[in-house]
Amino acid sequence: MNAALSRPRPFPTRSSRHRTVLVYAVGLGAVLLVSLLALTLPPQGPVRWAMLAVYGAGILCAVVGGWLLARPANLGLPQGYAQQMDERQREQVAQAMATSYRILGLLIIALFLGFMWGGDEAMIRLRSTQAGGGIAFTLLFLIPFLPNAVLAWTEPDLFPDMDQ
Amino acid sequence: MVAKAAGRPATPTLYNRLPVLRAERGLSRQDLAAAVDVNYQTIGYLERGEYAPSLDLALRLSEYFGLPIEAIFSRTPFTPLSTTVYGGS
Repeated sequence: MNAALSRPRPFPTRSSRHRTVLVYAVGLGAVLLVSLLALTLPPQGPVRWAMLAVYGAGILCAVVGGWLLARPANLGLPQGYAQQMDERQREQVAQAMATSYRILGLLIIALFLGFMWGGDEAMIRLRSTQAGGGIAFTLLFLIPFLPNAVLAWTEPDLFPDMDQ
Repeated sequence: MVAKAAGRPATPTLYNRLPVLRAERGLSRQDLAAAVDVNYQTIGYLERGEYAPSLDLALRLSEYFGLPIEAIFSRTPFTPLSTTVYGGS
């Protein structure tokens, strides 16, 4: 009982974690939307600059959100978390992984169907423009951080006296 | 014949006496967490009934407090100790 315990890392409130997840999701959504729009309607003139601005802001939001979600302390997990997680944390991470797997599966099916129905022109633009890069960015940033986003969204708040 | 279940029933609430047992012994959540080798947040979620422990964790808590598992966890709400000891209402 007299062992010196390290001070627990502060665990962000649920509303703060929800804000982080929203920044991440809005960023990725903006990048994906601009990329898909660029595939169907080649942007010209001021619309092109507006789309570029949204694209850049989306990338910034996704990177900042992903960086915050990548920190285990922001999810209530220990820093070297694979070895130090307890049974409840392992269960929560497993559930978050399963949920993310379903979300990613649906998204990939939707993208696949979209390209199938989009016709050859969309496929040619995917290869000949930068839109493919945006879609790749979305998937690359979604795969590693989506489980963290699900965990950050679902983990309940602590009692006010529990953060000590 | 086995009747086909309409769906998985919701897990019933698991009541516990952890806050009382911890307070009796003057333990913080961190002390208890370190003693049974879990994160201190898990103790909080257990106390709030938001997490049902595994049999292994329930046994570790039972050994630590020196009480049978059913004295710590129950499917029905516990009666206050004052009622049990003094029979008051």
